[in-house]
Amino acid sequence: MESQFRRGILDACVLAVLEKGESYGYQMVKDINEFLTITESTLYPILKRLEAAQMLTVFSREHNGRLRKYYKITGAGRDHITELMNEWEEVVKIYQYISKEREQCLETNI
Amino acid sequence: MLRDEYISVLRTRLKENEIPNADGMIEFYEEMIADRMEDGMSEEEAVAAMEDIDHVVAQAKLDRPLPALMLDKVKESREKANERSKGGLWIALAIVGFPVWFPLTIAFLAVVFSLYISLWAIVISIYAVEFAFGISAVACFFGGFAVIFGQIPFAAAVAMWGCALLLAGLCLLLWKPILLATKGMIEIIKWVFRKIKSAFV
Repeated sequence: MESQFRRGILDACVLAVLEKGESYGYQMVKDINEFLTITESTLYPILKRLEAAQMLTVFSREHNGRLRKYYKITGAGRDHITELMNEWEEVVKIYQYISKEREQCLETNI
Repeated sequence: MLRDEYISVLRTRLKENEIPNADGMIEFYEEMIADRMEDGMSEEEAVAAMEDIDHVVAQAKLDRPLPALMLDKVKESREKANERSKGGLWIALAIVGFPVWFPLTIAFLAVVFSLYISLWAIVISIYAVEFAFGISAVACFFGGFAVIFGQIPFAAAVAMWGCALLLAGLCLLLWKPILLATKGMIEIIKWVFRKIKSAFV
């Protein structure tokens, strides 16, 4: 998958996971890996980028005697998902158009 | 490899490569190992499930500025030469080759800089067009009122107001495509520079 396209999708996946509720790094890796491969070194810059863009907030909470960092989506993050979903609908329409055109073209060639 | 060893090697490699916010990264990786262990893995299994340190460092290096990455490559090459006891030869070649490598480096940086400026110039020019439509719409609208002072005929004033409407319409219609184009351009700029940087990682 083209890297920039994949980065955009991964940003959306992280935000979508957080939309369900606050989460932590390992849990996010597990959740996203169910449908898309993601590693720690990929997740960390995404979290930093989204935090810098104020799409998520970070806080620490005690867990089993240690501090664990939790990530929570913000209003800007939710807006970003909505925006991405709207853009995605346009991409789907373009995909459907291209598929239809290709089918017609292949049929004509046959 | 155990957790402490993994974290220690990672810390050393991140510091060596002057990765910004290395402490934050180490904290993140320590937490990942701890969470894996809590998930039922043994310490060895948790560390084995982590990514290769070279890959982690390479990914983190992409956040560093291009000149710093180029300097790293030079340092690496010198260290390799020193390891092979060819440090003297390396210095001699660097001095003799100065008239070649120095202009080439400057030319490369100039090309990268001009590419960066050109890509941003596209973004700025798109906004300049939008701004020109907006300003022209305002100018045409108020310009039409010159008819009150008898400076232009009424027909010209109506034509100006028509133009103002047309330009304002274009300005509004183009706003969203321009925003999308800007976002696209910013993504392209990021992509281009990550590609250039990855050549030095």
